[in-house]
Amino acid sequence: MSGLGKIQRDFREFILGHGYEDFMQHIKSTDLPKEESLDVYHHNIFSVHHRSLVNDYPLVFSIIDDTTARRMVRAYVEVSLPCTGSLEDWGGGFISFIQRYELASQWPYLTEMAQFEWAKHIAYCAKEKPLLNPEDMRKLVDSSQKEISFHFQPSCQLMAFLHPLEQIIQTHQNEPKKPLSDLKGTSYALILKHQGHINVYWVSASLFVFINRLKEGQDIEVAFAAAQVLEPEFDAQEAFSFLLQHPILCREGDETCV
Amino acid sequence: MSFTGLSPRQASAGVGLRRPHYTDFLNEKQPIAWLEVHAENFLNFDTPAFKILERLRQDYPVSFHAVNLSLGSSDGIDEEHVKRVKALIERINPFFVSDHLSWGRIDGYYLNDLLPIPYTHEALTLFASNLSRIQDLLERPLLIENPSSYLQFQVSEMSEAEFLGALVHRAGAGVLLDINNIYVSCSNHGWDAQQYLKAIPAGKVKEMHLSGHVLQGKLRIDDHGSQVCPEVWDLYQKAINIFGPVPTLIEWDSNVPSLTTLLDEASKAQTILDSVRVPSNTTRKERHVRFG
Repeated sequence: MSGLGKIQRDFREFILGHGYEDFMQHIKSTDLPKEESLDVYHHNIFSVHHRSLVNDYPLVFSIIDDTTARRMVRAYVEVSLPCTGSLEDWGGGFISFIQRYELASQWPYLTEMAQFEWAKHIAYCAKEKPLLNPEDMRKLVDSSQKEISFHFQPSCQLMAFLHPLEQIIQTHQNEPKKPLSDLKGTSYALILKHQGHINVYWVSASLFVFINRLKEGQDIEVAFAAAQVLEPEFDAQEAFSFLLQHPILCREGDETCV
Repeated sequence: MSFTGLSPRQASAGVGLRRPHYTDFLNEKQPIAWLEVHAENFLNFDTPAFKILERLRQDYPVSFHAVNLSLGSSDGIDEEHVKRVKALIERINPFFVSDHLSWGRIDGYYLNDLLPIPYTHEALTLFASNLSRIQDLLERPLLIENPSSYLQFQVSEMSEAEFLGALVHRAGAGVLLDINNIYVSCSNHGWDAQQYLKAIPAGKVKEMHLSGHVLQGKLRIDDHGSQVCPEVWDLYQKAINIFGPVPTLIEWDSNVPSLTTLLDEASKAQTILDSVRVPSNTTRKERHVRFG
């Protein structure tokens, strides 16, 4: 191993929490305490990664206390250093980490909160395509094609949660002292990007199922039947209005918005 | 490969483009000559941030300051990452692309900091090889920035300035001289800042950076979180006198102030740049010392 390679590997081991003495041996003794010098790099590395995760998961980090946050970031960095040059690619693995991390279990909804926030990040990074307008929709429905294909914005994601995330978020923001673990129930979100902004729509279970079936490429009748199982009075017209009122559907093709 | 035609015609002050100021720049043309961005923040062309950069590029020249090319890595270069940076360069056409005299990647994993290298002949050979390869892939020369330094290695065989000078000469690259980093490193290690400047080959310095730092115990730390201090302004004046006026950036990345404050700092740099008269052709030849 080259001298440079050994120094760099010894530094990495020091950052990961072992090999402190090995790396110390490389440092020239001067008036500067070696520990203080190493602290600068240690602090920089963990701060950068902490900021990246806070950027991706602002709600998660606003819910957990600072000590847990620092421990979680440190533990996550130690097991999962980034392997690309862009931190934008790195944070997705944090979700399964939270699921396994014992200290996070005091917030049972935390994993789903992280899934929700990462979905918003994915939407932020996705393309935007020209919207399907009512005229386009009319042509689509009136066409002689037996099967109608709906094209969803690339950023569009549908998510089902075992916890009432919308209620948890609102309570956390408006009544920060209220225990969030007492809140029960499921929730359903449609997340997408429009004109550079991330929009979140909290929908009913039946609307979620209806839209999800269309998104999966199933035809209108199948989607309607599935929604009716959850809500016998499900109104398909209202559901289509929802799809048209919001920037969810796009035209077929590769064109993207500038 | 040369720098001809790559820099703004007149040496001018620029500022870093930061998220809190996006709206200011989008709403109104600001009195600043150019902008610098961290390349790794704009690698995805579908993000709103990239759309904003592309829009602002219509009004301002842009310089790229990369942080993860990891030129000093014993791994060699990450060609996938370089390809992404190249695609960005082709979209935005920055007048300069720079990175640091540092490393940040080992065994395929990134540590996301500008980490110190020992100034040995082995490191110089490896760094020059990585740098040359990246310049070939990017089809343009790079600027290499001197780092802020908090430790020195037992095995170093030359000074940082000597290493930097030898590197850019060997690889045909340029120097991005960070004046605050010179001040911080010299203060931390007891180096002589004037000697540091003299050891940098004249003619290789194409850009300068100015920023703030903080004193923590015995260490000065380059945190880019405050105004440029008087001592760094003095050192900047000395550097301009030696190397001539070059595009100069105000770097302020943490505790980001209002755009007005940032522009005020830039105007101080511009005043110093304007005060140095462009030498005549005869004088310029005398001032350009051939390195090596």
